Amino acid sequence: MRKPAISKRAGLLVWAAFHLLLLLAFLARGSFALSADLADMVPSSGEGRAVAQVARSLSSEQGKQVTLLFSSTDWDAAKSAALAFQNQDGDLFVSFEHGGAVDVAAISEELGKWKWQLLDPETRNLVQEGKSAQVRDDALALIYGSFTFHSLDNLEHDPFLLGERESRALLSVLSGMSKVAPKDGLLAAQSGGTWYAMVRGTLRDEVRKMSNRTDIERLFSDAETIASSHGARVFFSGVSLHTWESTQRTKAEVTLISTASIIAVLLLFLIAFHSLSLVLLFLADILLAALTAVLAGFAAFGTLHLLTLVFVTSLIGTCVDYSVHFAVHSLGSGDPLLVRDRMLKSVSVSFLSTLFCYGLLALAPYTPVKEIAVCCMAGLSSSYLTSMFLYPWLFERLPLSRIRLLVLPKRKTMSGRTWKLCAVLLLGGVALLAALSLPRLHVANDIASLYTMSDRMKKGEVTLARATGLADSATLIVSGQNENEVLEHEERFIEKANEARLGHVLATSIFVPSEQTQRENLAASGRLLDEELDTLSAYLELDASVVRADWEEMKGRMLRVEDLPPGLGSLLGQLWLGRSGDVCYSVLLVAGPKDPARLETLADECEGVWYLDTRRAVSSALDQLSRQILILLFCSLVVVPAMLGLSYGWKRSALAMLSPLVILLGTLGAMMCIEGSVGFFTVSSLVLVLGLGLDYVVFVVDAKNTADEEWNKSRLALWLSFLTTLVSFGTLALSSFAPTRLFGLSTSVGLLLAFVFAALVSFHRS
Amino acid sequence: MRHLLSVLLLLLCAIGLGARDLHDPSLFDHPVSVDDSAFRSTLGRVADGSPWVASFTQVKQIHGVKRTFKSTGTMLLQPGKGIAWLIEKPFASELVVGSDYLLQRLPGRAETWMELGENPIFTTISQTISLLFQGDPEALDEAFHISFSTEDGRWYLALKPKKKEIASFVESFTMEGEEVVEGLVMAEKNGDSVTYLFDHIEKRSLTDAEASHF
Repeated sequence: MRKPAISKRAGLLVWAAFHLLLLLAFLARGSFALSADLADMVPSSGEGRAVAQVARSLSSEQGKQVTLLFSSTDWDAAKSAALAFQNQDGDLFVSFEHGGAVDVAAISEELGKWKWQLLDPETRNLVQEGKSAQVRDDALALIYGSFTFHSLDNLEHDPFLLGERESRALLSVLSGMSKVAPKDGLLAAQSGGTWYAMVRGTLRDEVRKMSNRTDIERLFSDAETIASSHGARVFFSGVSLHTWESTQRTKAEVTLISTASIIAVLLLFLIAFHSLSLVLLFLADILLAALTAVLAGFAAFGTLHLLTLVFVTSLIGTCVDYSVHFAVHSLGSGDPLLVRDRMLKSVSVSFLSTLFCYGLLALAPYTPVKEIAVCCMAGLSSSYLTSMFLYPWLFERLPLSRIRLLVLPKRKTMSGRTWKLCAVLLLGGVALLAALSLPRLHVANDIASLYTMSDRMKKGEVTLARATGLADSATLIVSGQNENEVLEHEERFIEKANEARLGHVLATSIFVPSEQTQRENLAASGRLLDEELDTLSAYLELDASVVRADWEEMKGRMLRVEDLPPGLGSLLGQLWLGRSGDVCYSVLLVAGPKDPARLETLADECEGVWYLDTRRAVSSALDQLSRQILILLFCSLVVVPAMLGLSYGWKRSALAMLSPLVILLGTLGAMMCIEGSVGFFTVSSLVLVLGLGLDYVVFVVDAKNTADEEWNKSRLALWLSFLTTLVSFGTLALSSFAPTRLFGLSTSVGLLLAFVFAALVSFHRS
Repeated sequence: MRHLLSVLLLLLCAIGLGARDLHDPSLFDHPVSVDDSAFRSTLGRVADGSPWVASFTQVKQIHGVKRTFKSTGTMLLQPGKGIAWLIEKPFASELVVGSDYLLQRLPGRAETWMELGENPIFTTISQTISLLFQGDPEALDEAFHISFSTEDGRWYLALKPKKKEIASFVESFTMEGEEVVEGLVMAEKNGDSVTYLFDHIEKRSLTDAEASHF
């Protein structure tokens, strides 16, 4: 009797060792978690590393905040609903904030003693242009007029009302930034006759991370119930709320897709094998592979994104292929170990080519893709080892002899002429598709199109932007070696942005000018006192020496960020990031930017200023990544034929060597026709299409010279393998989540093409 | 000396009106129900929805510098549109409190324009000032604790804010008059106050030039 190439014992040891090692690696990791954060799904953008890190930390902080707007034409109804919500669901928040709203008069009064350093640009210019008398006359008109922001109590120290002028300048900037102001202990806005009472708070970490899945559900339902009972409406905004909604949808889809896939795959097996016990065995294989995939993912990364789990569901149809091939060939064929030996080469080539393709994906500098690649590699490895080393042992022991395989209709032969016609049609069709679409081939990614908001969240974001103006601002990051340099960089940018009228700019330097500007302000203040103080003091019957003494005391001092009053706390928290390593950072906000492209150009022209357009930067990073994967795929046009030639002989596999070219060009062409461009998820799917589609060709090449009975078995295995894989990816194409849908669609198209090409190769046999 | 003269002038104005001092705390000792017929009929008579033009004297009493600033000008009330204070002497300036904006003009300078919808603080200021002149007893009652009294054919209205947002910029309002509002004192928390004394009050339509201020 012939001895098996690999003994039963050795095979079982390899199988057990692999799974045991993965289990140990998983246990060694200690902690694991699922991430549902939308921010984790996008790759880091292309800015400098430090700035990218600052930007990420900034968006992480912003991501903790949620905003609820209670609206009504009656302020009291909106207010009472907001207060009732704060009372009822306050435990979900670390704190409620007044971010974005500043009591300008209170802040300016607190900054009063720094009035000389904080001179507003208009006043400084008037003095520098020799128009100090205008500043004096303005002060008199305001003092004798009907309305001032500030009390006139401080007239003795500030007869020119410089604090009042600074307040007005500040108010002009802040009203351009936001329509929100404090009212009755809440933040309020009014638009089109409707009052909005705003509840803005930072969610507790455990709520944000959804440790208890009902917390955010409670936030939504309580807010809606409270609003309704107070005759108000409520609108929601915040990354955490988007994440929660997206997570709920994703979880529901994972359940639906995996259930539908498993049912469809098991039904196919029941039809093919007429055996429940064998189907249960396959089910166990699928579950083991899926479990192995997830354990490997946790062992490698500690945290897995929910999106990864959606993609891992595709393993259901792919990992079972090896088991199906083994079962089909071994049933009624004697010693399962010898059957295994016969198949080992084709299954191994197929497994290695798929592993190679997933390996390419694992090189992507994008964590969710790495996660998917690592999980699928582990799942496939588990299934390969199970089918090649565990099944032969199991098949010897299980009562499988009475299983009747589905008998496919006898193979029809194809004349050489018909085959040539089919070949010309297929290859010509692919060539035509490629010729029509590839010259227009371009990679285009837009992350905004990948996520669709629910109606509830869309209404919330639109209302927040319209009623408060808070959402509609561009963000820039400013850096410098120290505080003063950051402020100087801000001022240079603001000067140019104001000249170009690009929108209201809010930055720390509006509250704390750079040292150079403070020196210029002090000089202008001194000149104003020299030129007009005596006249003004005489008219107002004030003691001029008090003002002079005040100026003398302050002229040697510089205002620092740390001197700013606590009332600016939350606003300053958004603007001043402070020191990180050797560099200081701040954030500069431009409200309602009129020309974002000009803003970006201006940022490029100004030292230490970065325009932060996350959507564009991430899309551009995905474009770059997609191009890299495309290049790797075109490399496979050399690697895969070489692998086939070396394994099966150059002549025997000559036609099969065309398969990667046909699969790649055909799928790219088809997706260009369907979508108009190819994006990251389509390109990623090509890697899989190549890995899985090549399997069909490999099995066909391997079975070419076998007897009719074996060939029929190979056909059945190929059909089952194709249909189960198509079911898995076809169900992904039904997902409401755009990346999953694109991935499923392009994989299904590619696999169909690969299967048809494999059929062509198979008929070449005759 | 000028400070003393200003105070004397203010007192003489008050005496000239034959009225009680609007700073008198006892004005607040007459709480009134919003249903009080005398209160309602007085309010209906004083604020009958017609436009006004009046000369006024404004006296700002600044606690911190212990002196007053007196100015004179014209007030325009256009129901539904707002109120304009046109200060003429000693330094010209203009404040218009519109239904949804607040506007300040200084001679030779760009005007300061504030959309009230964008700022609840100014909305509150505008609505409070409008409340004083629109004669809606329920709206007044909602915003203020009301005291009302009459003496020698004159009425006195004293208001203390119920709402925090109004209380943040004003301690109280006191008003007096016969057929129209003739005096108004706005007292602030820090001891400052602004007194308006109206005379030559005309209840008539505004001319085109006057209406153009809104």
